[in-house]
Amino acid sequence: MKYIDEYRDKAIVMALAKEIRKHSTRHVKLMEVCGGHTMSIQKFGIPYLLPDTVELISGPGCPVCVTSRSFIDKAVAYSRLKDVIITTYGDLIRVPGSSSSLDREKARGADIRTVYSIMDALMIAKKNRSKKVVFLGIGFETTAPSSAAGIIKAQMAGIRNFYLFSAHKVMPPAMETLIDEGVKIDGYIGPGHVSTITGDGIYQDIPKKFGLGVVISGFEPVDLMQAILMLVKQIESNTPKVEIQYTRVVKPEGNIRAQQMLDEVFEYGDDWWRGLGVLKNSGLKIREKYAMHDAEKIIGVEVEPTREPKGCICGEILRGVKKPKDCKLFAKACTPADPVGACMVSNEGSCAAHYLYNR
Amino acid sequence: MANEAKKAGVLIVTGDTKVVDRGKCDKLYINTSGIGLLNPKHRNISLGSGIRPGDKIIINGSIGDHGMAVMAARNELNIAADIRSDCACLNGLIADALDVSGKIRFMRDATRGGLGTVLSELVKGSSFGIRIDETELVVSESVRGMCELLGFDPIYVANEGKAVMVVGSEDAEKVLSVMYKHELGSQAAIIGEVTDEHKGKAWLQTVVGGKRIIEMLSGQQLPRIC
Repeated sequence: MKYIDEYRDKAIVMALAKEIRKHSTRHVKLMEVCGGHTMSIQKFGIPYLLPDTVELISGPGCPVCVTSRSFIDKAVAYSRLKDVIITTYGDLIRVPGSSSSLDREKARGADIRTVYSIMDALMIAKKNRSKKVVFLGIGFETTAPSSAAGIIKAQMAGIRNFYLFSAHKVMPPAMETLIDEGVKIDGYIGPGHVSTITGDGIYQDIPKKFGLGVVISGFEPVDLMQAILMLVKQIESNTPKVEIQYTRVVKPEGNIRAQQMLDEVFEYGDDWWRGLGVLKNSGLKIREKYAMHDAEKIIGVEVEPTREPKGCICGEILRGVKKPKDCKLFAKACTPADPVGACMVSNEGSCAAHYLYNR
Repeated sequence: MANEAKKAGVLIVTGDTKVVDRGKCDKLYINTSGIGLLNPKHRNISLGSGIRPGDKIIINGSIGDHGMAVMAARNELNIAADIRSDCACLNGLIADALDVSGKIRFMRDATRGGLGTVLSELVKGSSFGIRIDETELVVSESVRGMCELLGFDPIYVANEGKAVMVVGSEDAEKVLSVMYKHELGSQAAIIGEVTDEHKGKAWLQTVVGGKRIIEMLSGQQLPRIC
């Protein structure tokens, strides 16, 4: 398959592995902050190809995992309203809330539909004018522009019964907080598709303020191995900077049109991250101008008090200070079929990836 | 039904119909049960009790076709993919294989949970390991494309016409060549072997030379968000 097989070429991967071995002398911890990277690294068995000096750890890059339990609780509350249809990406359906999940509510008769794009949710709203159609917006700069496009389209087409419930977040505050809090890392494998939208400008503070390098990487084995090599070289020569490995997709300036749409619909606000707590200006809130499509402003519901599960260490795993295997619940009380924490639900979650590929 | 029965070489010996109230069903559903005889000398095949290190793992063709055909047909994705389910009767192919080899030590249909689930179930708690070579797996271009798009792993996608066999290494080529002659085995392949390392684990040598464990699929695969 074109544009895939070239990046899974064993000879190239092996050559890169050899180069990494050649350059790496210090023990380094590199963190990936994108769930897609977590999955790829495990799926292709990348850790097995690296020398003992290079350790990979997963950060808060899985959108479902960092989303708060109270978000799920509120979505559950919306779904119990008679005139509401919930539309969502499949990942979110099975995430446990404090006492229920969307999956369970669906079994009890709530109208909850999995969609693959916010545009499908808009179509549902158009066909069901007497209902309020709520789309659960999660994800980083990657999925947020499509949510923005959905809102703009709803406004233009007069689809007044369409609402976004936004838990959209932006990545840089989390990356800086991790270093600030003293999580020991030596460099970041930068998120490929977030950067496609934002460009490389958003990471410039990281080498400047913290002396850590960021290499924006693609998702195939050759991409990841090359990004790791670039980081190792930066660390060995003590020249931290922002570099783009994923040049076939990521431009330094990013996708200007998508950035404009984000800015049109959203403004920054403080937001809660699993494992990190409230981070200043890390959330995307719907601007007043589009308040008529903001589920939280228009649809009132009573939400149960949030209860966190006992024993789950999702938060520490997301900060990279613990690994899934350190959790008492891992693969025992918590499995993909019956998850306790969000990291086990999403296929980008660290626990799910370890459960499937590295147990 | 007559056509499929003829192809499979089975007789339809009895049948019954039920009619229910209008609005309760309004469609035609056909349900079948099959009865066969188990040759005592093949009794161990369902258990895999004769498996030993060095045995080869054989599958009769491409993986993931059925599961992805169902996903594409549901049409929620607006993917126009040319994927057909591999649904087929395997008794002819299996009989051919059993005819040429007395060293078929295990056999299982790789349905729900796919090839990966069959292998990890087989190896669990056993005194051997299984190594699969990812480069030997046959996955059609359209199935691969759709899996890439959705973030699915084809080794966990359902099949409806695939048998996984463990065959003594001295007979592996013989079984393979009789499969090649059958229309349902033209893409058959030796995809790995039984090992005495990594006991109790099935593991995959990835296309790029990495290694990973093949675990049982728990729950279902979900499309990725971004």
